[in-house]
Amino acid sequence: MAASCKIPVKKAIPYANKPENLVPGVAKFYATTYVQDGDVVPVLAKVRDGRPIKIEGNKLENNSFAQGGTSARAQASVLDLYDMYRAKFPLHKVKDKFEEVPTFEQFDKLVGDAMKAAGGSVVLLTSTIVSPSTKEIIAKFPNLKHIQYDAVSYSGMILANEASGFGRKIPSYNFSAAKVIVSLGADFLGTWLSPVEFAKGYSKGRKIDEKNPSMSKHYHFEGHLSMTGSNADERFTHRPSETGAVAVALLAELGGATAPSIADAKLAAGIKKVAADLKANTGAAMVVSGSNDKNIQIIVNAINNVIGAYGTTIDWTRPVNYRQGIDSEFAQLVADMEAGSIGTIMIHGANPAYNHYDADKFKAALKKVKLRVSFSEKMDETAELCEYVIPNHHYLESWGDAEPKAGIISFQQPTIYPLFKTRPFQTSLLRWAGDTKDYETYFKEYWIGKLGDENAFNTALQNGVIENAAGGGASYGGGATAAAESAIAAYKKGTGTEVVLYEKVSIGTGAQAGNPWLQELPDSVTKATWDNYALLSMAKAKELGIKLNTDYEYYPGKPVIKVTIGKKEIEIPILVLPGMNADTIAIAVGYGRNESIGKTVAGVGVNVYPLATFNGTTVDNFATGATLENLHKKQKIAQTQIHNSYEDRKEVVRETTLATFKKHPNVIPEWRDELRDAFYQNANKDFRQATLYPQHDQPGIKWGMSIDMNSCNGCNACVIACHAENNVPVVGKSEVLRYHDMHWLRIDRYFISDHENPDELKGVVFQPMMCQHCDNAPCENVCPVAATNHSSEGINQMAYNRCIGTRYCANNCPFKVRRFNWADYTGADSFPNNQDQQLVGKLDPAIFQMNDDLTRMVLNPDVTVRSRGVMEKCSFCVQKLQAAKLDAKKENRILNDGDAQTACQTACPTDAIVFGNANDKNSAISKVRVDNHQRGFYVLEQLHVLPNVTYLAKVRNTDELIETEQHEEADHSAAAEHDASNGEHKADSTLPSAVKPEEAQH
Amino acid sequence: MAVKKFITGSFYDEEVLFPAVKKVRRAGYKIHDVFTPFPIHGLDSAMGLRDTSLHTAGFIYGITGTATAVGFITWALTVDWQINFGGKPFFALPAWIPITFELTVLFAAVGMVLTFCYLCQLAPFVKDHFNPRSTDDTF
Amino acid sequence: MSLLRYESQVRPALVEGDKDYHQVTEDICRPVEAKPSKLWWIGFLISVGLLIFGIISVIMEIMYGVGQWNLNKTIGWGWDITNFVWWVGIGHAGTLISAILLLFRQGWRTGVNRAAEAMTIFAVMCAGQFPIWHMGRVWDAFFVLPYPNTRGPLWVNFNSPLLWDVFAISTYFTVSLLFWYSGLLPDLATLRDRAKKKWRKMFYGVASFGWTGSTKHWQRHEALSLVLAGLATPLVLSVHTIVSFDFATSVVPGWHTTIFPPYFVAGAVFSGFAMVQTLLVITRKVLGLEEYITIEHINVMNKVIVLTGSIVGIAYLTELFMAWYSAQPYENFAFFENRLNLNSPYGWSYFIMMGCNVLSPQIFWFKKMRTNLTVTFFMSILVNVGMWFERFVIIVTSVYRDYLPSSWSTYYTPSIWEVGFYMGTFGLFFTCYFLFSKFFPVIALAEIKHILKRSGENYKEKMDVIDKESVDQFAEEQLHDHH
Repeated sequence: MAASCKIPVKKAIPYANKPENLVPGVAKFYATTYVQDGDVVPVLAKVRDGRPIKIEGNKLENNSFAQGGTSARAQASVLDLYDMYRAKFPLHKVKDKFEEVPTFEQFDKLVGDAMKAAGGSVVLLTSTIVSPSTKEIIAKFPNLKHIQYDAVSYSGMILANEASGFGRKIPSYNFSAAKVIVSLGADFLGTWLSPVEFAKGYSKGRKIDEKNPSMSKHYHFEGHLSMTGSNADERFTHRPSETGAVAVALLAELGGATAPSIADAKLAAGIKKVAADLKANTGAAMVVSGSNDKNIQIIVNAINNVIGAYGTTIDWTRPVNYRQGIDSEFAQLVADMEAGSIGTIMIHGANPAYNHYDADKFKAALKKVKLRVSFSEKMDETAELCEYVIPNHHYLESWGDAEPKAGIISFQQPTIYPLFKTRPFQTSLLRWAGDTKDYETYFKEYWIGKLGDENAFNTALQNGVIENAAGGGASYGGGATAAAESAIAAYKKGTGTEVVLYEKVSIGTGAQAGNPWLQELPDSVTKATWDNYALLSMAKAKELGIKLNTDYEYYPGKPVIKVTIGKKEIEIPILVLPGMNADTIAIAVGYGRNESIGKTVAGVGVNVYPLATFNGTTVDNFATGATLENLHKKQKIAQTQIHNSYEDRKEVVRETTLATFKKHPNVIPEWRDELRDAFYQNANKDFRQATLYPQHDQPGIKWGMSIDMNSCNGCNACVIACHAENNVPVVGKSEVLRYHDMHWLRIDRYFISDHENPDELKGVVFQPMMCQHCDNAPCENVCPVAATNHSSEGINQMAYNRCIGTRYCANNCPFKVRRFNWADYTGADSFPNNQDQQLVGKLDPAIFQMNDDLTRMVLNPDVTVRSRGVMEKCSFCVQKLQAAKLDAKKENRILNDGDAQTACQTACPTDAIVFGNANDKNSAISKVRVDNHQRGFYVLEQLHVLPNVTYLAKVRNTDELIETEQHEEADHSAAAEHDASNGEHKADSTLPSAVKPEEAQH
Repeated sequence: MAVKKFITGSFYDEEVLFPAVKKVRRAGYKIHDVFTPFPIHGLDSAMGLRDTSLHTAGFIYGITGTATAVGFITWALTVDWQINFGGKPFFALPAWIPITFELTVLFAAVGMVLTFCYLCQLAPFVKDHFNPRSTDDTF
Repeated sequence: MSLLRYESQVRPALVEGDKDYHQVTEDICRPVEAKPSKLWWIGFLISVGLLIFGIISVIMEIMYGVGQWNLNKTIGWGWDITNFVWWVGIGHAGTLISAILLLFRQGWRTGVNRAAEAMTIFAVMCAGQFPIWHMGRVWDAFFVLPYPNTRGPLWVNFNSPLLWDVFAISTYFTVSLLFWYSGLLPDLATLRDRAKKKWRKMFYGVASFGWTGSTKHWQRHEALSLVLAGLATPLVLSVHTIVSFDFATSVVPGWHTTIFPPYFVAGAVFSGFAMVQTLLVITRKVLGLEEYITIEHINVMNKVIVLTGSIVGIAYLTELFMAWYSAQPYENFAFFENRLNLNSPYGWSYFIMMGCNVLSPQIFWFKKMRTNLTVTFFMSILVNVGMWFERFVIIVTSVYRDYLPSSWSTYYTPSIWEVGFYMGTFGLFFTCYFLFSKFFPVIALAEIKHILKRSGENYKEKMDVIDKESVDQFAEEQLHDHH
């Protein structure tokens, strides 16, 4: 911290203009932008007493871009700011050891001299730059060659678009306009291009209006089960090497090519069906592909052209800037470096020494560059090989701009004084180019020049986002299709096992791998934390002689296999997953990072980037011809959920198909009525008489929540938001292994698969689960010391100070949402030095990182840090509710609907979570409950615990009719109901009720 | 001032003791006390002692316990601070029965033992018996 | 008044050998007054060793948190509450023997009640350890007491079964202690009057509260014992009922049942008697009290074991039946998947429970088995293993897979400190028991003397000798005299 004192004081706009508004203890929100390599999310940083503590989506009305959604990584980025392993000052390597350079002036002189001495050409190697002002600075740098390099490359797509006549660009995808969405392995809700934006659009097409039920149809072709694939209505699996064939076959069905042979009958039938559906929805359909193969993307473009996607669902008027790296350019750079023609290389954001498929080659080449300068925020794998490191600001300390889409600008402004002796890399570039301005000045002048005056600039900063008119677009020119088709036809058929590399929602490319929140975030699909692993089909596991149960694995030890591809081999534990292609294994990238970026990553996972292959033009994220060997040893994988099926427990999860829902729209309310009738019958049909005790009156506010399981795609943004807002502790892998994870909010994931044939996956359900705030809470009754009880506003509240930790409440919670502090995870305990236990429950370095004074600056001062031995759980963000009520009180008005929001709700990119006052008939929550009466249910309603969280059933858009006894009964009763008064099902938003007679008797 | 005279006797068998007690009583002497190593049923009535009212005391203590429990819990949960536990009404009498019962027993038992000690003048102190064998095998 | 009426000769003698009152005193006081045997020392030191292991385990748990145990977010209770219920159950036999059998006027209880009551007290002491140390913040354990505090009108949750436990266990401990100690007073006085050494005189003098054996005292003492027994009887039933409420009032399938109170009480008697058997078989041997704790005692106790074991068995079957008959899928799952299914993670524990508790005691239908000491000892251990597993089955196999399949637990095995804590309570129990057997008469002296004429072997022979004058007649005479 002392280092920060030397930094010249620079003021952020709202702070400078309105100091009189600064009240200690009152949060300020600053619009800024999360930029991580090419990912852009406009956000608001919540700043308490000078420190940013929480990231919220920028819900500004004119923000058409992400519309207030966030991602798990954006939510977690605030923790990176306080990372104790950041590079803290400029460094110079002297005899293989880095030494601090005392001042920036000295550093500038050192680098300037070295650059002169080095001679040769100067190269700036960056990850994708989305900042227009930065691009201008780069362009102005004399004789600078700028190479952009993406860890996970999209150059196949960019080149294909060029070949199709669109130029080297990527278009905007408008998922909300698509009725049929076909993804060829693109994980667009999780990691592909701009998932936050896509999730928002996608969810709009998936919302169900029960008066006229319809939703978009999502087909997914892939090798492994991705997060997006698990949201698909219909999924087809194939070898990764078959993607091209599938694309061509699809084009052929649409009449644009000759069909290749597809051996798998199910897959072939699927392609036919998809093609028919695409045809039927011409103009409202789109096909996206996650492939980095230029030819495949050309075919995809041809398909999109045939189905009329251009101009309807795919928008060329606003090409996007998320990814700009071209693999061949980087390959050329490496060749030049090897040749010794590069005198100086400056590296910002890119980390090829870690994430290049041939990192060793890059490292060797790098050594031949005379002057190597890194702007890395951390001592990453590439920075370690440089001679000079001048760390960049964290984005929350920076000025900046981002242009994710043409004409849409999102601004960055500092929310805190730089914590360390760091400097924006743009300032360095300016200095080294001979400009005395720093980036802040440059940036201001740049935008004041563009926007006209300082007022416009200030408004833009305050709003965070400006939107200029869209450009003219581009039109399709299909010349390259035939060549691409024949190139694909010539592709080798994949042999042996194929390995596909994928990104996890939490870790992505690995840039934020040092973030303990993200490491501990359970993967959407596997529910595993702190590790990567090979995902395997049941069939493949059997082939390897591994006996595993896909249903319930209660031992964390997983078999380790050796994957050999050519000369490359890795050892990695496996997880068997339903819905995998039998010949495909999938491994996440972003793991196996160097410990120098933080103790957190020590021993976490394996780096599998080297398994990627270069096809001559682009890097393919898969490899064929792998051989697997069972090593007959085990490694533990820390999962937060180990049972995969919901065991047909309808009281827990309601899911259906669109066809069924249309045919029997009232199945769920009728089922609920049945429960209720059974409960009533001995009480003269009077609900209140049916219980031993009467209900408490709950006048005033009654908080309620509704979660649309059809909108939730499992992206986990809410989980991290909850972590950040509520100071939820990180427990580390060893404690997750002991099932001690502390997530207040978790997303339960259930596979719907055939027990006989576990590899056949019908669907996946994501069910966010947090405290249900039951009116008849079983946990409250059993607490001996009254530490948990019910507020007058319907919140099940915890008094941590009062809790003595009997864990009785957790046992008695049917939803298992209560979390116990098994050890001193937070350092808040009254016992000193009690985190160093060796015999049982040794705590991981991540915990010590989280307890560092610097890291603790991320803590929300409104929420108690819980000590060891107390129970904790979701509080509906009661601190935010109180703040909203106080604001209303200060302004002498009643609380408006929407004033009080929970962290999970604001983080959600798909608006799956609605929260508010259920006693107010006009509130969003009441409306959601009434409008979605046919899908609404309470989890475990038969227990009569009266939860305050409603769930809306998941609907898969398939034609399958799920007929059960209940439906038949429903049909019968529907006929009889015409004259009966209960024929109409009135939504009952205040009285969730129904108990099975067996339960009532107990 | 009349001088009180005590005569003590020692017996080896309660079957001898009984007729002796009876005879002494019949002869008009007041028996101060009989010390026995174990309770001899009927000896108290043979000596003309009245029945103990320890039972009645126990009953009163028990009722006190019941009243204390119900009264206190009612006051604490319905008057002093009303807290909604799991939707139960503030006055949730059925849930208080176990504690009420336990306090009844506790009050009765502790009260009776204390009363017993008081009546018998028993307390943790050293007191020698004038006839050590009366706690062994003589009467 | 049946004082001088002898018992039927058909009943076997409860005190064997040719004993008179003094001989009884000598026999029972001998182990207390003699130097402890080698066997006693070995047992005592092993117990103390276990106790130290337990203390270390608890210290580790307090220092580093409940995370020292292998419980998890789904299994909030494991060995801790299993052991708690197990010890409480064991504690029940003592009170049952001393109180209920006193009320039923079962003469045979006198040989064993003192040891059984002591066992109750020690077992309840052990049981009480678990709910205390299982807390996440033990130093705040006093929060469970409804004391006026600085936090305003904050009392406790009188609706919580765990709070009922607080009252039930503390009341039970207090009443058992009073009952036991009031019974001890005359015997301590005997020891005092026999004492030769000064410290012994002091010790037993203080401990005996100055008991003299006055008739008035005896009269009150008898009344006190009777009323305490009357109080302890519903108390003992209530305590395990309340312990069962911890589970029965919850919503967890497998816990949430109305059958628990009687089933727990029967189980408690079952395990308690088994533990008494274990102790008696050892005690009579080590202290040479074979003539007071006779084969007949063992036989009668074994009858109770086979009875309560069968009751428990019926309870198990009833549970299974109800799980099936109720057609309640969650209940059904808890019983048929979590327990009865040998392939499920904890299926084995259910079968151990069934084997030990229901099947094995059936051999006690045969008298030969009931009177065989080796079989009895072995069985008594087996029953307690089975009863431990019963609690484990109830607690862990219910909670590890309950409503939401997402939260089904990983496999739970205890950590070294959980095992250590349990071993420590054995240490505590036996340390106390060894000290007790060294310093206190393990058999109720006065009570043995009281029944000697009815049930002593040498008196049985004098059946034909009938006293000359009826006591009742005499009492009536006296009454008339006063008029």
